[in-house]
Amino acid sequence: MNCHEVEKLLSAYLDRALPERQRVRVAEHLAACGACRKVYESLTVLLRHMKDLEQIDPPADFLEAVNARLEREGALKRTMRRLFLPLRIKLPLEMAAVAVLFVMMFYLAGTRDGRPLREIVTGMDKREIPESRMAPPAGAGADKAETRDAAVAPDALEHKRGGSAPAGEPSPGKEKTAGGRPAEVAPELDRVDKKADRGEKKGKMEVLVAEDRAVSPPAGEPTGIIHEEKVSSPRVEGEKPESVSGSSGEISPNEEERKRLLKESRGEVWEEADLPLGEGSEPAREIELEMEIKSPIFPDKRGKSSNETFRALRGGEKTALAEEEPAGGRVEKIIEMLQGRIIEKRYLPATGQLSEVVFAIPAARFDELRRELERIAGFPRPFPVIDGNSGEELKVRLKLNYPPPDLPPR
Amino acid sequence: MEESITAGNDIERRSKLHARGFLEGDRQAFNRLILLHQRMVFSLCSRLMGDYDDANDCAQEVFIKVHRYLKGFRFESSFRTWLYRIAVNTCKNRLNSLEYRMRKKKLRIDPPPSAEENPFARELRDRGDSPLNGLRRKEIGRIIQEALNNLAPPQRMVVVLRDIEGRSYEEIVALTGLKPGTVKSKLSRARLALREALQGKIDHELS
Repeated sequence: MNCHEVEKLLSAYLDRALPERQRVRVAEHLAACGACRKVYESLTVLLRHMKDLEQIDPPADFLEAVNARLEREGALKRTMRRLFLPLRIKLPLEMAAVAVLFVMMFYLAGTRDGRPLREIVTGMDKREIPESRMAPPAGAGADKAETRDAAVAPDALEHKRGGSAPAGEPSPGKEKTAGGRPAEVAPELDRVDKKADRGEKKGKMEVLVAEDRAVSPPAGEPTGIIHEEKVSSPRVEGEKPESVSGSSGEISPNEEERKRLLKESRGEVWEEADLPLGEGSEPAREIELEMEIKSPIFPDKRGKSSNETFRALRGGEKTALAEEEPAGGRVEKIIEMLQGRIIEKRYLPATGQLSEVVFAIPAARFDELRRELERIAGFPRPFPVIDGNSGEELKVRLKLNYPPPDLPPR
Repeated sequence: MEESITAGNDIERRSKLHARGFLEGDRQAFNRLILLHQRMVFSLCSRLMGDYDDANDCAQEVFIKVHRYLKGFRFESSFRTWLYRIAVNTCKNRLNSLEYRMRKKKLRIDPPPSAEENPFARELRDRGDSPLNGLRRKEIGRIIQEALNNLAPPQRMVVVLRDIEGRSYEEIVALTGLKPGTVKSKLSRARLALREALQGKIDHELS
């Protein structure tokens, strides 16, 4: 056994942990080798010193420190427990939440139609369901611009232009039916005609039509409900729906049906304005305006233009958002301020933004209207010259075009 | 020897009494448990961690764990062994943690703190009650701790448990999770390294 081997075994030798044979051989080597004996002795001293080392006292505030930490951890634990409830409580809660969600989903989407919640909440007259609502909109998230374009089908435009002629006068050239028709025709009847005209909803719809006729007040009396845009479209009162659809000349029933289905599939949503028709007179002229909304919101009280708002938003000025209101809401306010009567409103199904509003307004206020609208958007187009002194009432169809949804940043 | 066993039994009995009291809702019982064992736990943590602040943090954590897991303690087994195991594990985890190793690496690059600046060294020096050789013993304690700090953590752990704490080979195997052969070889190497490091410092006593 050499010194190197002995040095390795010394530790175990000191602990009396060596097998007897090895212990004896190490002892013999130590007796003979002075260098190894020196290592052995110094190790013995080292072990004695280490054994004699005293325990170290903790700092005086050790107890308080532990208690403070326990307090902190306890608070954390309580918070965590509050956030993460035990499963036996959490699971039923989650299940209940899911059930509620389902009920709401079916209530909103499945039961009757796909109208925005707001309409249901405002408690509108539910006696009649326009035909376009019989089926829920399929493409609710369809492109906005497309939806807006689809809102005015070509035939509807024709009717409108025809209707912009003075009251009682049959509009020239654009007649689809034989002979003119008094402008005082009750809106419902007209709508009924329209429905029948579209025609082929068949069975159920025909029954509904018949009922409508039965309960509708006499023609000419304001009823407060205007459903469709063709209030002033020339049509002979009382004409049979079949004959109307038959006599609609260049547009076949199939074509109508196809357009209707197309509209439905794009998820158009119409809302009836529950407002009285005032004196019951029909506005004399119908004017179409279209405007590009620069920003879907408008800071009301600061009186900034939407351009300014947009710039402020882009520049990170948070306060610009403080007094905002939707551009659509602003438009409605302007109309009301100028003593206009809103007849119809139309919303984009995807965003709920006002996309079109039809309203009557005294011709004398038209210039004011245009100036107010210019504060929200660019110039309304086109730019008709209105004789403010004529005293007549104008029917204005205002379309609002919004910027693409990713602008401005919100 | 007889006396120390009696003292040990007394501590064990009181520990279990306080532990039961705590489990029955007596908040003060836990404080008494801390006071009863804080010196042993803090001392062990100090030797293993080699740094006063680390030791303090670890020792606090040990009692936090006791507070948390006392519900699971089986009263048939020894409370002190249970506590000791928690303390060793806490230090072991801390020594193995990446954060600790990174910090030590950084310290190695920095110049070693002088005895005056190091609060741990000061603590070691301030201790000691025997006026005759108190100074000498404190000095030796500081020198030994410095030598211990230069050992690799597993070696330090084995030699502290064996030579300072007086644990048996079997206990060290159980506490560290090392194999018996590994414990023996690490212990041998650690002792020789310590002797090497202390040569010339407490030389006249070692020789």
